[in-house]
This record gives sequence, structure tokens and C-alpha cells, in this order.
Amino acid sequence: MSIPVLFYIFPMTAVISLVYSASRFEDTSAILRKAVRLFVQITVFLLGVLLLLYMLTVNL
Amino acid sequence: MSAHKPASNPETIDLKTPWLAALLSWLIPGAGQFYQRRYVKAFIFSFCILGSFFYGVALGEGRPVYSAYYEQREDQIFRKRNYGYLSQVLLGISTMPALIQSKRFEASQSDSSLDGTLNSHFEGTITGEPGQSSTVSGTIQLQKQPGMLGPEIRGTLSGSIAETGEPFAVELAEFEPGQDRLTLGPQVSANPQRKVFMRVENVTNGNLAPGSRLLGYAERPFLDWYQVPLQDEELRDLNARLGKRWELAMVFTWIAGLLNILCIWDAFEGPAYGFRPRVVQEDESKPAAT
Repeated sequence: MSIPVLFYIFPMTAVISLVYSASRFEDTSAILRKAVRLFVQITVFLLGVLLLLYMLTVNL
Repeated sequence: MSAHKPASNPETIDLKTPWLAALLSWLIPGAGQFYQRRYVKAFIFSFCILGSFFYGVALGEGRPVYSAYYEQREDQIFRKRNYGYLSQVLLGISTMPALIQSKRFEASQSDSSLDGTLNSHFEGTITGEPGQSSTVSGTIQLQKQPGMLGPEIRGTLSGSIAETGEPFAVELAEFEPGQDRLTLGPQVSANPQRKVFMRVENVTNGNLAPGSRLLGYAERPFLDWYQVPLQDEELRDLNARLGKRWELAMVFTWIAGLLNILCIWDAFEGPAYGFRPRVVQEDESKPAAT
């Protein structure tokens, strides 16, 4: 079974969040806490864009 | 105030030799942090960055990484660029083979000869009289031998016919010895399969006609196709077969390279917030004045 292309967003976002947070902080718990927050922020933003595009094209 | 080791001090980090750590992090993501004994960060950087890079490579069937190369066509030399390599090269050692493979590819573009022996799995067809064609698979062994007009490529193929399951073994020869007709695809190419076009000279086992044509693909050794520049035909094939996954494969490798900038910078300067590189002050070594 092939994975829908959209789902590749999640591992990519997780990796970006972790690496970005690791470059900002030294403390492991701070890295993980900020990475989770960044992951949620990016995912919500992308899903918002997806929803907006869906609404704009639903009757086309 | 309690004493702390430099690496675990809440306010300072011992970055050791920052430029060396940055260089190590470029060569292998996370290696600079490992050298600085920041093991958790070394694990995060190497796992995330190398993980996404190799995931991208696997998604693109091992072929999203290649550098620019020169191609000779109709007496003109064209430079084919791959701008994505500019971000991939930030991953250091993992992408260095592309530079070597680019040179090897340029040197062997018109080289369809056999270097040593070829001994690998083969899949293809044997075509005899018009309308008579058999799909075959098996093991092909080719080597150069002295012939009437100089060295010729000869060998054997043994395996089974797909339609009937019947075993067979044939002896192979170049289709037109001494002519310019391609018997083999180039030795170095981005395709994991190497084209083989030969004549069935003798049938030692099975119900096949001598003089038939053998056309198919032999497996190319990993070192002869990994990170070798993709040509237009191969790019079209990958786009057609993998679709958006091919684009995603490249994006994963590009992002991995760009993320390594953060890793290299972290090794050189330390994290952006809360911690500072440990600097030994002159008055630290002097006893405090009473």
C-alpha cells in the first residue's frame, strides 16, 4: 500500500522541528518541548493552508 | 557556587576547537557535537539529518543525488547542471561520491566495452524467427576474448524460459563483431540495469534457435550506478514511474542538506539561546585578591 503524498509532511516537519530546536537550545527537555510546539505550529499552519485551498476549489 | 564540568555547565559549553567541530559536522552531521561530547545533540542531528537524507535516497530508488557533468553530443560539449546538489553537498561525505561518479561518467560515456568480466542476473527476451520470442531470466557471464577482428565480447547465459519454465543454456557472441553496434550499455550509468544486446551463437541446452537475438538487462554493480549523473531519458523514466515521490525524494535530500547548516553552525558557535561558549578569562587563573 502506498502512503498518500500528503502524509510525508509529518516526518519532514518533525525532522525540521527537532533540528531547528536543537540548534536553538542545549538542554534536552527544552529541545523536545520547543520541537513539539514548533511541530504543532507548522502542522496547524499547513493544514490551515490546505483547508483554505480546499474551500477555494471545492465548487470548481 | 558548586563546581560543574564545562560541558554540563548551565551557562557555558566547551566547544573545544570550533572550526574542527564545524568541519566534522559538515563531513558527518552530528560528528562535531560528538567531538564536543554533546552526545544527545549529536544523536538528534545525525539521526534526523542523515535519516531524512537516506530516506529521500531510498524514496528515489538511490538516484536523487548527482552533480553536474559534461556531455558530448554532435561534436559539442554541454554542461548539465543539477542545482539541487548545491544543498546536497552540505551533507559532506554522504554526497562526495557524486563528484567522483561525475568524472567516471564523463570518462565512460562512449565506453560500451567490457572491463574485466560481467557476471550477474539477467532478464530479457530471445527473439528468433518473426513472431517467435521468449522471455528469459538467468545468469549471464561475459568476458573479452581474442577474435578474428580483435578482442570480442563472448559469454554464456543459463536460466529458464518464463513462459514454460524450461531450463536453457546458450553461448553468446557480439552481434556484429568489429562494427559500431552497441553490445553493452556504458559501464558507468545511473541506471541499475545495463543493456545487453547479443547473438545466440550456440544452444547447449533447451529448445532455442541459434542465431536468435538476445536483448535485455543485466544488473549493474552498485558502484557503477550510485550517485552517477542522471540523463534526460532516465529522468523522464523516474518522473513517469515515481511521479510526486521522485520530487519528494529530492526535497528530502535538499532539506537534509539545508538542515545541516544549522548543525554546522551549532558546532561552531553553540546554541542560539541560553548558553555561551566557554571562554577562559585571564583573572580565572589568578587567585582572588584578598
